[in-house]
Amino acid sequence: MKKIFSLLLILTLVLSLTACGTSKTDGGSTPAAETPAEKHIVNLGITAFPTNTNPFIQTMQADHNALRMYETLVIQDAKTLEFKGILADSWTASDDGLEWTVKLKEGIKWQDGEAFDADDVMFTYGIILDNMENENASFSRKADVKSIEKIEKLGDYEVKFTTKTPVANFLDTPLQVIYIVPEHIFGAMPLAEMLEFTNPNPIGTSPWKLVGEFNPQNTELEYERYEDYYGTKPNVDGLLFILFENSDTMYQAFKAGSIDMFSPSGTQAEELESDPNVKVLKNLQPKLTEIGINSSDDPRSTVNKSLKIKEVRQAINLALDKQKLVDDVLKGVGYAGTTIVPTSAGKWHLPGEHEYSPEKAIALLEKAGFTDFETVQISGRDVKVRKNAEGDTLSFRMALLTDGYAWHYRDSALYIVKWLEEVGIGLELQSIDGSALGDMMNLDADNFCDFDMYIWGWTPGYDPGFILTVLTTDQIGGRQEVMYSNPKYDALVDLQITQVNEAERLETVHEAQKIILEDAPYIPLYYQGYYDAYRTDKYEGFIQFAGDGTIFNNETYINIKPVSK
Amino acid sequence: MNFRYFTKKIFQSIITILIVLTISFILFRVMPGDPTSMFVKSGVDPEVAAQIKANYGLNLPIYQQYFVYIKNAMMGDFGTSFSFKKPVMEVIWNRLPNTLLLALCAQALAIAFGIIFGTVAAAHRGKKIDVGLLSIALLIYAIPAFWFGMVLIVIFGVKLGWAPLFGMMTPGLRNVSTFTYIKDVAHHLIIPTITLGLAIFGSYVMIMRSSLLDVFTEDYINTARAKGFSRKYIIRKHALPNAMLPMVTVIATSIGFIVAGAIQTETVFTWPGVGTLLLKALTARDYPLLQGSFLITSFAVVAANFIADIIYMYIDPRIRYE
Amino acid sequence: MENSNHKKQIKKDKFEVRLRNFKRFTKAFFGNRIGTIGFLMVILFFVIAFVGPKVYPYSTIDVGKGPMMAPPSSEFIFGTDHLGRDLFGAIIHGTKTSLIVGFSAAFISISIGTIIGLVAGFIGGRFDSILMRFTDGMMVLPKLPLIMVLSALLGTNIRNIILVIGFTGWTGTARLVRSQALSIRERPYIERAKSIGAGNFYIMYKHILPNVFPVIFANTILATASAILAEASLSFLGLGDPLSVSWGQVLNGAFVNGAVSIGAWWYFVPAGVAIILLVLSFTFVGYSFDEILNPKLRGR
Repeated sequence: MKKIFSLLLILTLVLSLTACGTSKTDGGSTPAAETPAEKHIVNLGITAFPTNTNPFIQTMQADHNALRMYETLVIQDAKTLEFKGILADSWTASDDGLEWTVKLKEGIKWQDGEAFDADDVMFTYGIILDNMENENASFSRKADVKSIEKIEKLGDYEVKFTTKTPVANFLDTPLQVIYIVPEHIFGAMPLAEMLEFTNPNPIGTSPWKLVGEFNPQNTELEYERYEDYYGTKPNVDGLLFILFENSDTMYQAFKAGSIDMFSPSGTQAEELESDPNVKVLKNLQPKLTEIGINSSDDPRSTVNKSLKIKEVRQAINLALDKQKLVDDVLKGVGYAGTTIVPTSAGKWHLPGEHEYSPEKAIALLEKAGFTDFETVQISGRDVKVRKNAEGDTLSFRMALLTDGYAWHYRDSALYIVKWLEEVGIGLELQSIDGSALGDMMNLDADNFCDFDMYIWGWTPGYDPGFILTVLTTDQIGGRQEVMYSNPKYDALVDLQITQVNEAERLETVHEAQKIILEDAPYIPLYYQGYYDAYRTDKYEGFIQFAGDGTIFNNETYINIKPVSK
Repeated sequence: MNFRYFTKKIFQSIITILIVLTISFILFRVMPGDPTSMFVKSGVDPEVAAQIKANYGLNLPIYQQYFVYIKNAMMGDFGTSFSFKKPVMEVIWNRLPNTLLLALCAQALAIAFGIIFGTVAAAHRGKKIDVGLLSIALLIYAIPAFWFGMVLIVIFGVKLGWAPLFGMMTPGLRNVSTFTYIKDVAHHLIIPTITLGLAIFGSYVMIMRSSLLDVFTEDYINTARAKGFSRKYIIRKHALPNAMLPMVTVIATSIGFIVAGAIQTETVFTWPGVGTLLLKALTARDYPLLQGSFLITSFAVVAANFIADIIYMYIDPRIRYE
Repeated sequence: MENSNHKKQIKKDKFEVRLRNFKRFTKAFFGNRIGTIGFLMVILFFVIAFVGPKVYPYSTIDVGKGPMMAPPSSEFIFGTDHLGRDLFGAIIHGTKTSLIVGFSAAFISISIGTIIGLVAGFIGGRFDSILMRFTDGMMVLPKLPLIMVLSALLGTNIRNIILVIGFTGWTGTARLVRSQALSIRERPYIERAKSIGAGNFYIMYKHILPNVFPVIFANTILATASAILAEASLSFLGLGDPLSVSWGQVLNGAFVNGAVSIGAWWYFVPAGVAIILLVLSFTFVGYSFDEILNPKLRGR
């Protein structure tokens, strides 16, 4: 017994000694000092970890970080927003706009040494196109290639796309969004396997090569520079994406110099302003945060049917003081939301101001028949909510995401609850994980449509093509989360994509936005700006996409270099 | 070695494990409306879903499902995690060492100081130092571990800058020697260890104290006293060894519970252990992972109890020669 | 007539005995400094919980009432949180939540524990061993994970949190009550009652329950303390209702919104101290109860 006792004592002593020892020698030092000087690996903080490295099943924004080894045919220049070729050398469109001939660069090698040619492009597009009708084949990029009629191989380095109608943004979607995968790896797999494949050892064509095996359980994702890259090689030796479970941890790691770039919250950005070694930037790339209102007609849906009344949805929109959300929650970085196309998309955004008017909201609700009141208990408070003659009450459940990126949803939700209560609408908040909420939108889920409202968002890019398709009928069960269907809207969205004349397309795009504004299945809250921050004492040459967008982009990664001392 | 005692304890542990499994079966399989959702993420290819259903016997009547479930659990098959797309056991195994490292260090700290302060309190029974230590022990019981962790972070991390605030190692640490690596982890370990250790330290003081006080009333202590041995000698040679008996049980039991108890501490320090994994599984509605980590933490308690019984057998002569 | 007088006399005697016992108990209790302090603190918390909200209005949706993340000032004596809500109000209103959750959950778990313990201890036999095995099984289930899992399956609101904490915390009481019941069962007067044909239920209710009652009572107080802690942990881990006001919810807000790393101590120190004081006062009361009622502890 005595032995155990003394053993424990020794253990404790040793423990506390190492503790003291380390705190003396290690206090405040950064890992940079320990990394051999010749290796320059940029550490990037992220809050969500990719789930796989398979471009065919990539759905989450976070997954992009795991696809850095892949390239698309074309890409938008970070400064001019003009399209330039990556895997594509050049491209021409036929006069009727229906045929796109793409010449590929020659001499490109996959990172395993195999040659890249038109077969890889044919395979990547072909496998998706071949399975358009196959409901079990859940390619995440189906919607992006639906404009394509067929793809033909004209030579070893030349392919031709034929589209069903002229496509206004063909270079953006699909050419800029479809990552080309190696046929010699993916082509060997049966379809079902391909769609379950997590791709632990991805082989791409880009200047970045994954280090080690991909494991979704890791917290770090490392790339090294691929020395045989055919284009401009990066200046740094590698990229290391580091997952942080909460933004606070990330902020501390940044301050300590463990990471070189991250996106701070508003409060953190304010704190960082005074740090001389840190540059804080406003990132105004197009982003949309919206309240989605479930308007499903599906018999399985549990939605409160009062939400199917257009006036109720419009009243919700009127009752929100969106500018206050921008000021208080976003600390002024962003714009109050009106339509689904964000302000930063430039001309595509339908101009207009949000009208905040509780009085009009009340008038609308009364007009819709909600003139009576009933007191309900919500989270221990008595809330007076409106009801109509049939006894339907305006008391809804709103899903609130628990994910790291959803911090501003959670803050905004309290304001929204307050404003809606002021016009007689009660909201109960239900915490849920983003992927779990996404599951409720799958047509075959057993809890399909088990929600009334939610707050969620999109990062739609600069072309309106993507964000408009989010609300089309054929996206129910896909990208669409509100089960909204309006044939007039569908027709406009289909039309704008074929309008090669930009002025005509602009008009259609605006027309489509007006319909959503009227029907209000989505209530855009704001187009939030973000902060990006980087340490100026380690690297330089960061590029903001489109001048005011994010610094987390390909060109930054290639351009940055260690600060010359 | 007392074989009968041993088998009896094994038998009891197995029964307990079965009860735990049954409760968890009720929890995860019977309570939710559609048990399939516990295994198959919605939106999965119907063919794959059918395969998984067959593997876990979800098409069978409930009592047969129960046996399939027990069989799978015994073989360590808890299904595939939704969020990691890997076997649940593999995911948990990856995290378990981190939790054990934290839990064992915290235990060592708590045991050492618990015994020392418990002995001091007992030796000065009723005096100021005893009352003081007792109040501290009571106070510690009342402090939520997560809150204490937050306070320590602010004091030692933010204000004094002595310790790293979060995580188990400096992020992005690459190409360093093993020594640097160990040093880095040790540095990150200090404050979480103190936080978690303190949470259990209080009860050790109390138990050590009362168990020593019990021993003090025994005849052989009086005899020793009469023989004129010094107080210190009596405590060390006679009282402590005997007072350790109940301590061993308490310690072993709490080693099991500390794995579960580490959830709060792990969360505050974003320590990559089983506790944070469980919380993650919970928010992601990753039911297989949730059930797996729940069962693993429960099994840890059963195992610890069993070990306690075995240790008890060795150090308590009454059982050995029974 | 005479008979009824006699009965009255017995009742009166009984009453006097009880009164004497009660007086002796209160004297012992208030002679104990720790117990007295604890009792006064509990009373104080009750006043805060049930009078406070009436004189000091606050709501979780009072966002933007003051500046954001502002340190204590004369207007907001505990400062404000990241949405400009008054933290002093949150502490006052959170007291009620803590007390309600604490008492309701403790009541549920003590009731279950008492019934199981009584039945097992008194009826004994195979019934006893089955119940005790079940209790053992429940005991090894780690409590916080169990509570977390249950609340995830049931959904998080105050009512479910109470139920979950209540239905998971009864094992200790069951064991304690069972061992008490076992020892009382062997006493001669139970034998006598049985021999004159008293039913099990009657004996349990009339003889055993009153005897184990003090133990149950002391246990209830300690169970309240641990239920309060459980609620705080649950809310802290983000499993509470975002619209409800509780101390754990405040701490969760502080943690999630980075109060720790920017050193905004006012966001989490008052709530933490409030939890500690409330739990401490219950522990003090429970501890001194135990000391008085549990003869084994006396003299230590």
